Amino acid sequence: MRPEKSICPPVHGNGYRPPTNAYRRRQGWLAAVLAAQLLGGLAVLAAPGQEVFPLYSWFLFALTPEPVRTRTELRLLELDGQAPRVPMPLESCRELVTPAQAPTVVRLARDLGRACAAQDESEVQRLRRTLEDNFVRRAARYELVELSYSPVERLHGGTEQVRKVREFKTGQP
Amino acid sequence: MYYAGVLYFAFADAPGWADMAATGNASLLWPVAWAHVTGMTAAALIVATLYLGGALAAAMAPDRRLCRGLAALGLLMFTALHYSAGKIGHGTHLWVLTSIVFVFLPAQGAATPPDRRGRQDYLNVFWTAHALVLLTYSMSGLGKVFGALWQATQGQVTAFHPQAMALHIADRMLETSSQNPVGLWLADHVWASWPLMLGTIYLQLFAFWAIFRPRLLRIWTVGLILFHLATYLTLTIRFAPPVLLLAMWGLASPFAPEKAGLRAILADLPLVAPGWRFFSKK
Repeated sequence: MRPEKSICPPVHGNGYRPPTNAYRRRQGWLAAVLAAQLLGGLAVLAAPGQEVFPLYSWFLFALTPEPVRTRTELRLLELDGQAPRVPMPLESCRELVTPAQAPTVVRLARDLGRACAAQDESEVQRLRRTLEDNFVRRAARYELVELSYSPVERLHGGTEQVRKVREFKTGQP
Repeated sequence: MYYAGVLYFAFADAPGWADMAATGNASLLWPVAWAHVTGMTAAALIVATLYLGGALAAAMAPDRRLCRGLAALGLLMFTALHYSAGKIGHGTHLWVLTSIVFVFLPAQGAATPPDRRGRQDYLNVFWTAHALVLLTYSMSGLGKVFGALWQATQGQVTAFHPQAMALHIADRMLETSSQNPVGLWLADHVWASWPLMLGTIYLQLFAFWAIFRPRLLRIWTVGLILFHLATYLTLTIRFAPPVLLLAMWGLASPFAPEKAGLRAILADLPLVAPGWRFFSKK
């Protein structure tokens, strides 16, 4: 049987075989991969949307919601000329959004709220295009509202305060 | 085995290919930015072919770097196209990242079985991929600790507050209009949800530690799998692909010892170990 080619220099007196430079170099590259994941993940916190695919900070649920919470929501006012009895949260409208797509619509509502607050009209239009191209593909009128509530109380039927931010119509600026 | 998993996901995702063709192109991620030129139908066809073809090639010939590269590229592009509708999900990120790491597995060449150098190289790359997976959990734990420190300076409720998990659950259920009896119960019983929240932070924060303490690998793996099960039952977040990675690599890790005694495990536990060593000496 052919003896194995060793990458290590000859064994020292105490049996220890120090790693070769080539081995150390390869390990260095692999350590760099881990460092890039950590540092890259932290660096993208400064990027818009706080990630640059596929780098992500993995800061999931990093902030605990306040006992009194404020968030924005998209509500459907009219679809194909017909109005629901009460304005419906867009993520709950199963004609337009599947349960799997609901978190994306929630995220778009949050981003749209931020863009409206910053009066960034080009970002508002980009987000609306994303929303209307992917989810609201029919003639619809919808609004962006700001909600204030206590999550735990609201879960048991507590009330919420609603403030209208802006109203949109599909295909119209 | 790993590429059999990629192939399974490629098939499992097949019903979504038609939806990808209907995706708008206003928020395309950079790996699929070229879809502006080809149009979405052609892009979906190209990406689906690359994804399925690459996964099949790598499953058939995992020792070929070209096949592993095609699988990584297909997975990267498919995930990018899938998440080009306004929100990036993170369910398959770990598969994307580890498939890129696996491109650097050493070429097997004619040596069968691989020589000592080949085996060391192989284990190093495999260890890095496993460490990368555990590092993301530690980053998540770190985020919660940093977030808590920042919220404490602002006088807000932090992740260490007894009500923290109840607030997360209630907020998530309202945001997604979902109903979930386990989550509802935990939101109402802080004495049960608080230890779960603290345990989650501990488990996540020190996940990377476990890769350097082989005796902890299996325990941490089981803990992280249970954590994913709990997030599904409480927050309705299903992170299935990472569970497969954890189970494959953590439970059948070549680095974990066959058996590990309770004393040895306690001596390896972060934060607990110094106290255990102190009392066990007395």
